[in-house]
Amino acid sequence: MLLDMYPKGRLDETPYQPGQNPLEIANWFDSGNYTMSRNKRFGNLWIQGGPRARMFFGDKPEKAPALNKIPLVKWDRKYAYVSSTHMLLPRGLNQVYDEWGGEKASGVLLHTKFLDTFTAKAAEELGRGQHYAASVEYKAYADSMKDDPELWCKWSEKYINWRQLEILGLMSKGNWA
Amino acid sequence: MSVGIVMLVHTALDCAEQAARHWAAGGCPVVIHVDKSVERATYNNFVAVLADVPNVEFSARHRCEWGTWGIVAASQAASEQMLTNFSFVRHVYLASGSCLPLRPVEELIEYLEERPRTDFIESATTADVPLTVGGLDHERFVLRFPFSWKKNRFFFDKYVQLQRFLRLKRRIPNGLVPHMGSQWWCLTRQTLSAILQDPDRDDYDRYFKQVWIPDESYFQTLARQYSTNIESRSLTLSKFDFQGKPHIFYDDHLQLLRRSDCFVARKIWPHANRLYDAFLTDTAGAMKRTEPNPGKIDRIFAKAVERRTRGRPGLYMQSRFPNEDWENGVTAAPYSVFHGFAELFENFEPWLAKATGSRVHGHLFAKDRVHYAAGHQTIHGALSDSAEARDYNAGAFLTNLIWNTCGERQCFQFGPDDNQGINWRISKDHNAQVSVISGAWAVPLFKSNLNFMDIRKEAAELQKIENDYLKILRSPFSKARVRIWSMAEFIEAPMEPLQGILDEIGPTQLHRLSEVPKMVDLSGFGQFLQNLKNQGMHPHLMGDFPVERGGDAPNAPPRKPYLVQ
Repeated sequence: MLLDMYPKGRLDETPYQPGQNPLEIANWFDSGNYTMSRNKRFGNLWIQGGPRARMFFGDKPEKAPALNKIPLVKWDRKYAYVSSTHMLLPRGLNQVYDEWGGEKASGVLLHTKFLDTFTAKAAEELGRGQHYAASVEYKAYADSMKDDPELWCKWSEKYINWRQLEILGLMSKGNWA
Repeated sequence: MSVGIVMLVHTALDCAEQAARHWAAGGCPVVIHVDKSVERATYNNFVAVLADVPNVEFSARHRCEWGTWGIVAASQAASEQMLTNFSFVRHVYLASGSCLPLRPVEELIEYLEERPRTDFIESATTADVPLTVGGLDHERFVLRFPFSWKKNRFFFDKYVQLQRFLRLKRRIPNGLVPHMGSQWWCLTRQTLSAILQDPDRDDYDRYFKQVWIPDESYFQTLARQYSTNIESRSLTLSKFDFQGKPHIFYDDHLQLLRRSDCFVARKIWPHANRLYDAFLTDTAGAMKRTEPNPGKIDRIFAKAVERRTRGRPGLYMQSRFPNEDWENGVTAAPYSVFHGFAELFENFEPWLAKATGSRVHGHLFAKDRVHYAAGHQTIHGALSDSAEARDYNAGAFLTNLIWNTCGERQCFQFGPDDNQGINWRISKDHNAQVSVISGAWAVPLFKSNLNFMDIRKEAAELQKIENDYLKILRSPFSKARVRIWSMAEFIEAPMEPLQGILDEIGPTQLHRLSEVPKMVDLSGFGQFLQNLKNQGMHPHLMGDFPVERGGDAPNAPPRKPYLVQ
């Protein structure tokens, strides 16, 4: 799963220096506002939520970007990604979740797009128009970010380590001990 | 007197070499059996590498496929060689190449020295203990298994089915009682030689050659024939996961293994260099001389199995998305739903918050927005108050809210004017405490300033919705703690139900109810209902309200003696 990280305060408050660990600036995340549903056709989970859904898609949540990712696959030439790294074929590869109540092992991709470079990037991507659904995502960003580029809220969680993410239920050790 | 190590090796020869050197350096002779499927050149190389170590021998090689006789044959051959060539050996310890001694060898020798007559072999009857994870238990002793489970699964299964169908049963020789247990044992010379030199050994061997997974039952069964003192446990620490596969220990288990006080652990990942370095080199870091104590490891691994099979109740995430009704708990913690209370009492929410100390929200599922307690716009976990976002997946909204606020009881108001998509989920949730005053939706209408025809329409609509809701709560699939009163019934004696609800929410609440929420003025309500009836809309959910009755009930002093303070 993709976890959007963001800084406290305005995005353009702390400029990012090349070579810097982006988590030093963007070290906050939303811990518990994710919704998921099963994609019946491919069998993968469709996860939405996080700061992007909260800030940019409050009135049209169905358009919020997908956060489910299966980026780590022991590859075989018979396999294929269907849409980005969101879903795979054959469908069995999407069964990374347990359906009978147990937890499988899973990890989190910390996504540090929300830095001071983001506003410019969003404008650029909008110009390129290469993104999903006519770049609806980037349109929404460009609109919201103009006046108040702050994703942080009172209930944002500050990143500490993976064990924190596990306790919060964003990832799981599954069968590992 | 000493301990002899019989080591079965089939892969990761370099790790086996390290272990063998360690054992030999500690004064234990080692007889190594290398699987026949290991290539000749590799084998020769392995023998050559260990040539400089005294007291290390190699036994005749057998092909060891999992679940077959080969492993027993290998153990027999190596044990015989051990007993013949090293007459000073009193205990023989069966280990594998991926076993790692956790404590200094001298401690093991000493430990066994103090128990010269004890055989450490896990051995339980199949009838009493469900040791196996799935598959065959008693049948493995009475059917035949000529086909390989790994290579010919189809024929394996078919042949089992055929034997079941024909009710074929094998005779167990000499009235042996089949026992099973971990294949890693430590037997005394007396017991082991008795097994290996038994006059009936040919019979036994012939029988066990056709038993399924004989390495878990051959010595376990026969040791029961001869041993005078069986300790039914393995000295080797090995853990199994939910599928019955052995857990593999990695570098990060170092501290855990140190604290276990066990003598030997398996399986160790061949590349866990830190473990090999830590346990095979430093004798100085010797642990205290205590009994093996795998309790902590047991707990941690049992927790892993629990997590993998049952998971955390009420959690829905990327790797746990249970099918409906398989959740093992719909939500994470108990919560309360109040239906009709906020309509009937003017200050119900603050009163409830004060009386119970829990978080009392307004109508969380209201049409305009999410009414969090104290008018917050976001809440734990950064859940927003957008009605669209909530209704996009109302079930997930509820489970998220309860998960995020774990540790603090949540209460919220609900009514027929709210999003009803959540009803089944609440009804099937054993964490939900649902209290309903049916018909209370009429109170706001009664108080409102709408035209009567609009009221009538609205009332008909709400009554229908609430009726459906009550049906769901009363369904046989409902697991929630549901209490339903009609409005007339409730205002008759409001204290008793309230006290009951509070007692259930907060066991810490020691006081009796001292402060009562203020009921709205209901004078004229009976007439209001009668007007609806006269218009052809029969409100039936609130019970029988006499036309004249009105606001005397709320102001009447409570009648129960304990309520008078």
